Amino acid sequence: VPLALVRSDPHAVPSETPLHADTEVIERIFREYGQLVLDTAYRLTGNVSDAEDVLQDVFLGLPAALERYRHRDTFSAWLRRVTVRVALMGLRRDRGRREIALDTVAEPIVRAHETSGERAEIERAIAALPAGLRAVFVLREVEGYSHAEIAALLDIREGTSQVRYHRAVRMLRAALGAFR
Amino acid sequence: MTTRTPFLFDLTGGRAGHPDRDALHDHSRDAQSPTDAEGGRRIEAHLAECDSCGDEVAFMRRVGGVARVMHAPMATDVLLDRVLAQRARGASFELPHDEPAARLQPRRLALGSLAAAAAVIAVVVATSPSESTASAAGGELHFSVAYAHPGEQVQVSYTPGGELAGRDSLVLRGRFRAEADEAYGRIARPNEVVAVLRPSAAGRLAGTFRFPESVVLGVFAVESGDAGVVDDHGKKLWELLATPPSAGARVPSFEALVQRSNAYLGRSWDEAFASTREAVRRYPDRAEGWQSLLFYQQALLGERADDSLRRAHLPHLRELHARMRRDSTLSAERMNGMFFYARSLNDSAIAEHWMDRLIREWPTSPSGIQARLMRIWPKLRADTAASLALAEYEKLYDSAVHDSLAFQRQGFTLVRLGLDAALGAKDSALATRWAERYLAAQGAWSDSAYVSTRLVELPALRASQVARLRHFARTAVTARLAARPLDMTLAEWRSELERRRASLYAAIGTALVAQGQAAAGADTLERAALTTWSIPLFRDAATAWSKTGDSARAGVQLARIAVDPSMTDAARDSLARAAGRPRDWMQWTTEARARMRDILLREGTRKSVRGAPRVTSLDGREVKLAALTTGRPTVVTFWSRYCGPSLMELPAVENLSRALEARGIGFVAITDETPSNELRAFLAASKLTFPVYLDTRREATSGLNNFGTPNYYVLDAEGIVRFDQREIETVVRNASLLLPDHRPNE
Repeated sequence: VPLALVRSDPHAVPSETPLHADTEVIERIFREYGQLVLDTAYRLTGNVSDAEDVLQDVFLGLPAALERYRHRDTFSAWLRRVTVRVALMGLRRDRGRREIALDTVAEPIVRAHETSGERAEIERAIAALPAGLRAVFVLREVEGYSHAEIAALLDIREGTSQVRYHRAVRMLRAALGAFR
Repeated sequence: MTTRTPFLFDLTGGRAGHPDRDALHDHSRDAQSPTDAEGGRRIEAHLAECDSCGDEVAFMRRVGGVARVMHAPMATDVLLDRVLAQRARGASFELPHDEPAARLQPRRLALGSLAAAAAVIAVVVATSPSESTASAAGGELHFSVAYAHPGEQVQVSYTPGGELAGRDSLVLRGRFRAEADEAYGRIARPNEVVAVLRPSAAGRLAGTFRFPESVVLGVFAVESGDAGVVDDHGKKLWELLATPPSAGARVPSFEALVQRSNAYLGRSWDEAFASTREAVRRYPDRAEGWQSLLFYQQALLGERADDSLRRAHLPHLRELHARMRRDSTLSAERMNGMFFYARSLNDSAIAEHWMDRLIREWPTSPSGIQARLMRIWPKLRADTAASLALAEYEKLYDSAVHDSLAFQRQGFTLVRLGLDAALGAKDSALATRWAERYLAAQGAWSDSAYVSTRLVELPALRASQVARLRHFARTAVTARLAARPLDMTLAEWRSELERRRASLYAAIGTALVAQGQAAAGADTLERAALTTWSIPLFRDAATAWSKTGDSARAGVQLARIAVDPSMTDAARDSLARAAGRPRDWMQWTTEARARMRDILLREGTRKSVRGAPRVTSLDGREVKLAALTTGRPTVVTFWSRYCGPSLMELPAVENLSRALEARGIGFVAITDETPSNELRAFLAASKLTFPVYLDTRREATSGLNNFGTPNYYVLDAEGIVRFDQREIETVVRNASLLLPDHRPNE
């Protein structure tokens, strides 16, 4: 789908293209990348319903944002970065409200589908990290951002990012104590 | 990928003598990373001695590995409907920029709005593929550099020809190979848009792109915005090899040449071989190159040459061994190269030495895992119950899974073996676990679909996997559109995906029948048969319909089997008897024949030969190719004396020529040589009876857009190419479809 997207020729655009055509494109992008968006959001937010909200926002914003998409890298990499930013917007929005909760209280994790044994245990431990710590851990460990980039994304100092990362690791260690 | 050097000793924080935690954590993520092999080795050495650091790294690898494959539940249509409903109500959302605003360039993007994209898609969908010439585009592409440094900006200039001329913009697509990629199979970055080319000077189009850091070879094609016309440079594709970062003059890197060889294997034996020779010439110290050279030589010269090849190669092996065994800083790849080189030369002492060292020093590197797999295979051979294999794979997985990078390569072999063994043992819990591991290592859409087609074999998993397979069958085309290979137009890729969808319906149908739902199963199998011609499929559908007692629909399926040219007369008679309705049989077979023709011709192509190519006969006469091919269906094949697969196939080609002759179909064999006594002697010694022509001016190669050998082109009586195929098995069947009265069986 994005192959067609990045190739579209502005000169060929009929001005009165009907709305359902947009819908078709959204549907195509969803079929191909919906899972990627949902997974990325899920790792950062730690629960399914927040992840679904992020997905909804991303897809509602896509029509306008596609105009900003550059071909410097793959469509999926771009979409993944945008998703990270939307997910973090949500976390930041909640920060005022849940400042205390961020570092202390673990959020419940909703997981409908099957995983077993040790892997499930690790996933639960990651999802149960306080949101602020989980965000840093996932950005560093999964999305591959540097501490400087994480600091810019979360609007915190670089040192704070490092400290949070180590705290996340310590908490995971504690949670998974029996596991070797 | 981190840029810091992951080996800073922390002398202040009470961890004197240990690498600092950041370095350890970076290492747990980036182990075996080619950017800092030396630092990695030093940490590995430390880890071997230090339990607490080893424990920390093992912990981070396991936790990080799980984090990277943490999946949300499936993104279902319920979610999509929610988005569409919000949108219909006029909802929208301002997405954040993906980079700081200051760095955004003011230039408005070339791509239009979503509506524009939709319009393009609509046009593409509506356009059916029409006849074109064998090489419809034929432009010229140039890069600003001969070999690229990793991360370098490269300028591209393209002079369009044919159907791509006169366009406002074109798209450059690329496939990038990384050092770890293997022949055929899985490639790091199989296809992506690299740049949009815009008109520059003198009818040319230009663009720039950044040669990615982590890759060693890029191959490219240019296409129109709607992906309706693709210029794949006569199937060769354009290529750009990486140059080593330290080299003074730009030369191709060893890894780039190895990957070039991998990329051509299966497409052009000659090019693959040439690339390996070049690698050995430039980098004589690399055992991997010598090993690869030996592989080509063995295939080309056959078993008779084993002794002389061994004599020629053994001195190299021993010299490399003597030199490298003293080197304590060797990468896993170098050790692996020595192991395989020694193994191909049957020098078990040297092979064992390097296998031991590889397993000892790089146990969780890709080649280390491979070596450990190879070590346990011999003892698994007698294990018919698969229980020993399962236990061994479990052990290996447990120690190897910590390293996610290694897992992207050899871990894949391991999880596939584990899944096979668990399915063989019919243990659904175990199969589910291995399937989960499989998808953690390789979780693309096609992998998920494949795993489901396997799990559905087990009764306990059937119901849940049928549901998943239905989802995959529904999305089989849309979900894979972006995975279009470089050399295919969108229309070609769509029909390819439709064909692949058939195999999913086949799996669902078979499972339904096994579940006792014969009618639903048979229905689904019929659906699979709509787009594909497959005897096993017809057989399954016939069995399913008989179970429901519907002898007419079973008979229709049996008739489809009967008309396939691969059936003998006896088989056809017994199928007719099994159908048991002689009065309907004639009608069924007539319909089946028409259907076979429809389906197979749709799978084929429709291209005219470019220009009026001439070929040369063995006695030096010039002949127009058209004179040899028009008037009756004709098969044209390209082969080469210097191509291993061509040589191996030669006896089959001789049989093919006789089978075609018996059916009144023409046959022309073309080789890319000038007339010579050696060639004549070779042909006489091979006892070939069919005519061989020489493409001395390469006009036939260009006219048919041929690349590589062996290849088969099936032309109809008007000289239009209807099939363009590599496999010899279906040549007779396909050519028979083009006979005027289409009697493939007679």
